[in-house]
Amino acid sequence: MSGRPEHVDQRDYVQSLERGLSVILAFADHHAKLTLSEIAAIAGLSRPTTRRLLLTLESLGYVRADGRTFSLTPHVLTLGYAYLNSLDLTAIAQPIMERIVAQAHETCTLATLDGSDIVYVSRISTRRIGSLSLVIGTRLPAYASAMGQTVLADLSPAGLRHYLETTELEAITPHTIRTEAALHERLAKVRKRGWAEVDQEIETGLRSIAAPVRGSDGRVFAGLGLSSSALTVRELRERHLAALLEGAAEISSRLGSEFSARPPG
Amino acid sequence: MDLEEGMGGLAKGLAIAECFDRERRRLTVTEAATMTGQTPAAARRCMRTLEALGYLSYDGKFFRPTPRFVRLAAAYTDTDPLPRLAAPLLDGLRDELGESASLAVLDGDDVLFVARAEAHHIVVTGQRVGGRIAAPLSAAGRVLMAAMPDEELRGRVELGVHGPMTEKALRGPAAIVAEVRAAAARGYSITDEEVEIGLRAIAVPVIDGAGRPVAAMSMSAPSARATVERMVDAFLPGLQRAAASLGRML
Repeated sequence: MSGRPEHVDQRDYVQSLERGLSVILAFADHHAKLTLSEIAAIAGLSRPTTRRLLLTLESLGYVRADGRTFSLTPHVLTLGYAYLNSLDLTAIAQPIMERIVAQAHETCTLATLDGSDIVYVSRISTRRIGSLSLVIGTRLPAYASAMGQTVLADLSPAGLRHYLETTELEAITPHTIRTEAALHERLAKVRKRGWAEVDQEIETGLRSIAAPVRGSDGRVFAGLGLSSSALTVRELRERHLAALLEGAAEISSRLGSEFSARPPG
Repeated sequence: MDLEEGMGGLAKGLAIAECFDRERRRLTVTEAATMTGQTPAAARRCMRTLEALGYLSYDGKFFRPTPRFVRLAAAYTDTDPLPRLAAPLLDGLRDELGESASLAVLDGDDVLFVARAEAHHIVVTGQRVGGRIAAPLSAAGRVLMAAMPDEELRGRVELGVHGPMTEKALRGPAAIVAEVRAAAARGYSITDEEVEIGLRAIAVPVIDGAGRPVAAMSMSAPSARATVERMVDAFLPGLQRAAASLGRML
């Protein structure tokens, strides 16, 4: 964690909150159990500070101590996640995504924008239909992903400017978009067509198409993507685009009706 | 800033992050302060910090959670073996029986749902991952409380139970304690439209190598698709098999 963002007043900033969250995030890369020193190193904090944070998190029920190691408890799921899940996005999307996968035999992913990255909200692969929630949180650079491009294409001009100011366009493969001009051009195409395609821009040998998922306010907040390492982009498009667009539209309309059926707030 | 106050800030900020759920999709500073028993000034600082870190968005009046919270959830789901080991078993139950299957653990006075395989129906029932219900009110909670000594159990139930309850729900500590004990003897618990009219659930305990009930495996279905008899005849054997498999892995 980089510390207090510059535009935030010191008096408005609770440093222990930022640091406590960075301790929880230290476990994120599949470290089931970590020692105090490991957590301090990953979070970039001193050992005494880390110890106090861990003791606080333990007393609050988010962390379990077991001898010299620490692990996260299920209580972590109560942090904001119940709300996110209550959008019923995964519940609504999952059967639709499974239907698409059953027909296409390719991996289907739903992802939303978080900062510079898109983050997986749900993913159905052909190997293990229905194994949800274990890959949630996977992050990819938005500009290089078809799902990301569908979301970026619908940002406001100011939103897109902010995205570009805070994002480094790096070449992940030889095909990755590297200039702002090329990205603007691509996003204009996505806007015009209403869907995105990416040919080995994020991983050599991987092609994806993606369709926009809109919230009740009509804005695109997630991309529904289908990716394949076997098919060409043209094959993906010709065989599966119609089903993907239909699926994304179905998720969008059910989210909209779901929201409008409930009182705001 | 002095350190004790600093640690207090962590507790306050996390308490606010817990406030957002299905019923509370956005909060003002005043609402969050009231819910967490903090001063508005303290709540405001925490919410501004969560906003600066990208966890909340702010429109000038309301704060709303952003998808960044998924990172925290993933830090847990990626590292705890329990949901990872349960996922294929829950998928198997869902595929075999056609209804949603879940795994829940005891979390304070609640059961907390940590994994779930969603059924392919328009009408979905039950709690999603991260959802919680007062333990004494839910089938999962009742099988998880079975191992509690009488005093602890009575204490928990007598504290008063808050949460969604229908007119069919068991009333009073005595009735709930009796059901927890009966569930322990029969090996499962059923809520018949107690949490929500039109919804039934059945749960069995997952017992680890040391003989402790560490989780509950449950299935829920709309009443129209599952009578109590069908839940016992059709769902129970599969649930018990899956729960035993999971218990052996722990």
